[in-house]
Amino acid sequence: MKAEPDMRAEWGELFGSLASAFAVGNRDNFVEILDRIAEARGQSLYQEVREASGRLRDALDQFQLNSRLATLAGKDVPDARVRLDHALKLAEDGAHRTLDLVERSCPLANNVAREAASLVSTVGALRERVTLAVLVDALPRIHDFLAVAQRDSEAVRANLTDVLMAQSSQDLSGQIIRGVITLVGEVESTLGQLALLAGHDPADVNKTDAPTSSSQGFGPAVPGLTNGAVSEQNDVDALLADLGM
Amino acid sequence: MNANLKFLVVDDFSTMRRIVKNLLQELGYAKVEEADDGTTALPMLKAGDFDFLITDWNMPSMPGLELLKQVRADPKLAKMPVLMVTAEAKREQIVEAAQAGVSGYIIKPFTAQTLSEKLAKILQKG
Repeated sequence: MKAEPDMRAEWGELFGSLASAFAVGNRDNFVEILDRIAEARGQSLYQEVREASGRLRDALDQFQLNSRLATLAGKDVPDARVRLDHALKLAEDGAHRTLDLVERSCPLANNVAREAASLVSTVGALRERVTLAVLVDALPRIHDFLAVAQRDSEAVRANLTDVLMAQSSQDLSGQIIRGVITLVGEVESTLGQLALLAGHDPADVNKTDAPTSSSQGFGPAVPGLTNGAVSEQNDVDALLADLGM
Repeated sequence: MNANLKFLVVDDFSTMRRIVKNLLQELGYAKVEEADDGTTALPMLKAGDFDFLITDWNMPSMPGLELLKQVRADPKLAKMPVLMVTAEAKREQIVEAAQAGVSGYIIKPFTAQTLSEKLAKILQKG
């Protein structure tokens, strides 16, 4: 609350002039000073109303901040956890689906490569010297191989299409993660406002790495955030070589 | 190359375990088992006849570095080759792993060739 201004300081001069004008019976002067008093009184009322409305606005802001915080803590953040879990599951399912298809395709490709290699030598020998016996032996093998190669390469091609499609979940998980990034931004600004109200400016925070334990692990290095990390295998090898490994 | 070597692959992400397992099989190593954490890996190592340990670092209960230290501290397991395959890339951590007796260190993401080279190098030293 503002301290009451001194009545004499505020009104003394005007009141004195008014009293003098009244005493000498100067009507015009008296009315003019009366008008000035009315105007000054209006100004002071206006000032008080303005201050009261400012306080009301602050209170409303704080109320809105508090209710936003309650929504964030009670709904948006728990929802975000569920959404991130789902994004993780999508990514994991996509990776497993891809691995399934790769595991199914590799033996097919290996098989075709092995049989082709053995036929290369058979056909090579035939080109040197054609004998009926070798030809009779080779032809059905070549025929069988071509049939298997056709069937299996079609299967591999179909698997590759499915590998392609297994990547489509990245779009969904990406959208979910983007949504959560936006939410984290909002949480950041709301917490920042709260910190400001409590008298701490988030801009003053010392932006060094949080003290986590190296033996538990920091997780993947993030460009622009992680200090002191090597960027590729060559750096690791060089560092280990320096250590005598 | 000794195709009979028995590997234990430890990573809390099943996709990464599958990738490493597939690469090992591609290289001709058919005997590969998996564990999802240091705490599940250690009893398997103590009970089983594993020849080679490949482990992640950052895992929820017992991190790979602790697993490495436990392996080095166990007289029966102390000489087992331990290859770390991890996203942990801070210099101090690589030094820490080296001091704890790691046999090789690969940072993720890695290539099939890197894995094959490091394995060959470790096994060559034997």
